[in-house]
Amino acid sequence: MDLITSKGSRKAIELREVWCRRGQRSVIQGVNFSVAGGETVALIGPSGGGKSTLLRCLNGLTEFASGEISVCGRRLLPNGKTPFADLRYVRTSLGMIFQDYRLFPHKSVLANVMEGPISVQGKTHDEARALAEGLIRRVGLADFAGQSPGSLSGGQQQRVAIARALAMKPTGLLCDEITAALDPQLKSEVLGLLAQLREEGLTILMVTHEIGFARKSADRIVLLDGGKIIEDGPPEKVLNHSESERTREFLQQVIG
Amino acid sequence: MRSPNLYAFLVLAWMIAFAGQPAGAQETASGKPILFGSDIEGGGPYLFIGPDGKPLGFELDIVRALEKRMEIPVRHLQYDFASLVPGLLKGDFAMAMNGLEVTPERKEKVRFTRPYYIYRQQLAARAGEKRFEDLDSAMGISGLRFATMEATAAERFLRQKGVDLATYPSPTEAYAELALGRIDAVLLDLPMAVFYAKKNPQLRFCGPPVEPGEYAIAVAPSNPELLEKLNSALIGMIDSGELRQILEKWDLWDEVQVSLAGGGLHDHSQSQKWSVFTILQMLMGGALITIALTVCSFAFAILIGFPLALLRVYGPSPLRLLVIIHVEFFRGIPVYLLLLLVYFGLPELLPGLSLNPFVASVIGLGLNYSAYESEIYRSALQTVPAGQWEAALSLGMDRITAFRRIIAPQAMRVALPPMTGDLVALFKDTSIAGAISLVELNKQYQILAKSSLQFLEIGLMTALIYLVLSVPLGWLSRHLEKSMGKDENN
Repeated sequence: MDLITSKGSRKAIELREVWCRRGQRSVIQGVNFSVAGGETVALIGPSGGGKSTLLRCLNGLTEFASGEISVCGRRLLPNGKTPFADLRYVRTSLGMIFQDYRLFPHKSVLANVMEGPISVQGKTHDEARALAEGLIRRVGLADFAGQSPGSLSGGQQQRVAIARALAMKPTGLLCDEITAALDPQLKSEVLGLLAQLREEGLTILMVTHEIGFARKSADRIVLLDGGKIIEDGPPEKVLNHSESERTREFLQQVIG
Repeated sequence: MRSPNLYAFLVLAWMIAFAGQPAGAQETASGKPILFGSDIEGGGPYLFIGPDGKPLGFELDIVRALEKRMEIPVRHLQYDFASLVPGLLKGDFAMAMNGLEVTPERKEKVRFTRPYYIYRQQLAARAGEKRFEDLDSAMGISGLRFATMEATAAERFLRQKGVDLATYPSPTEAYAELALGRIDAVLLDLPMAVFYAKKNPQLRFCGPPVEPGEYAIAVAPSNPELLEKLNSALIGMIDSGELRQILEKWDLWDEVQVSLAGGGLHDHSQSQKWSVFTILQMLMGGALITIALTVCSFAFAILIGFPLALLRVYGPSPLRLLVIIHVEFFRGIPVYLLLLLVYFGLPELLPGLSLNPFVASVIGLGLNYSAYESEIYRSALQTVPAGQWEAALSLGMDRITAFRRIIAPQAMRVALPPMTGDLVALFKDTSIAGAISLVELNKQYQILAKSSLQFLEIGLMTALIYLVLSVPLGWLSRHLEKSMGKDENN
């Protein structure tokens, strides 16, 4: 498995004319958009604008109706037709982090991180354990390895979730409002970790309301509203010099 | 509830007050009927419902004759045959008359009138039976399965002989089982054999009737005046030839009945003493069956209930509907009825199918509990948030792996406490298997209590065994619950 981590290498994520429907409503309306390997892209926009749906389409948790999506060189097919082998490749290449952590409550912190390598990649218990212990140290939770996820703070749980995703050795992460449920102090724990991962060359596509973080750490900011991309550019341009009325309106609401 | 004993007592007090007057006339004037307990389910020719819906039977004829002679109206009270003696002692009725054999155990508890019939025991087998010709040769064959009606002298006799024995609440079931081939020989009082087996072409009598004994009317020891009246009325019936007429009418008169005139057989056999050790030993045997039945039925219930729950939660909608029908059906009918359906009903549907009582009980109890189990698993699976599926799939797991490693263990923790409760409930529900002649703990208790008439002592011993088994079962499952609650390290 060759990793695509250096900046500017071939596209990690590419969407062409993607439409996605929920019932009668078109949640994504003909989106064209791409993320290069190693790039960090912040996806912003009002609630219900299609950000989460877009993210979930990229690893097959949500089906799309038409258009082309390719992730890490594999094509995803509309209406859930993607062969499972491709789906698995995409899912292990791009780890998904959720707003509500979704750790496995019946397993310890260590076992949560070991789970993917064992049950998906067929690693031995010892290999998985060595890998998981390293990652847990890496996210600063070595003392909590044996504990139940429920006994950890939200920020700690989210760091475990990141470690769990990293255990699959992904080339990138899909982050769905991963700090939205956290207090400001806990937010910075998680965002700090994300910034480090970016430095290490991981591709990051994050749905976020953290405009400050996006300004500082994102390579690009994409604004999605009404299922369409309104704005796509470097943070400086989108946040300070947007020509779009809609963008300025939204930013005013968010920043206040 | 005012008991007939109380009536008897009032009548007695009234009689003393009017001492010197002819007693019979006074009682007719009082017009208070007394009750006789008898089991119509026990069937012909004693007391049964005729084709026109009216009660019939040679004992009914005798009661009517006694009524006339004693000048006391007598009414029938339906009562379970095996409970006639305790019912009489409790005062639910004044006299018991139902082919009640005079046994030493019964004589210790109640008073018997002089006999009105000398019974003998008749062995019956299937028409094609070649292995034995009479009771003696049948006893010599190992592996032969005998049956009789519970709480009869035949049961007492066969238990003493130590043969493999099944008992049923009525003769019809015993003969039906014989015809089906589930048992090999039925030993029952001649009147029942004549009434039920003689005209059945699938069955035949083996050898002459043996082991004579007496039928007499039982009254409570506290009621000597009724005993006396019944005795004098019976003597009148014997002397006048009225009793012989009734017995002849029912095809029951034979040469041995001649001894009735002399007061019967004058048998003075002693009651059997039941040692606590023997009782405990027999109860333990029953307890083993109960445990085996619980384990097998629960395993069967899980085996059926789990796939049903999967279909219910993840299956296509027509299958889901089938699961709902299964659950509602087996949850909605009494497990007792279900057992009877499986054991007696299925062979009618599939001739040649010969389920033994244990297998039939496992199927019946298992189907009943599969409904409860599948509901437990369904709701447990539904408590696992959809996000857990997404988290597992996002790691690259296929759905089966995700279910096995992520969803099922979490559902299991939710399902375990109610499963525990069900296991204890099932453990106690196994007592119902006695209805199809499986001798589990409760049935063993019934057999022992009804044979020895020690309902209280043996009942408490049985309760103790149930408790000793079910309480640790509760502890064990609570412990399991806790250890399942802890986090695995893998």
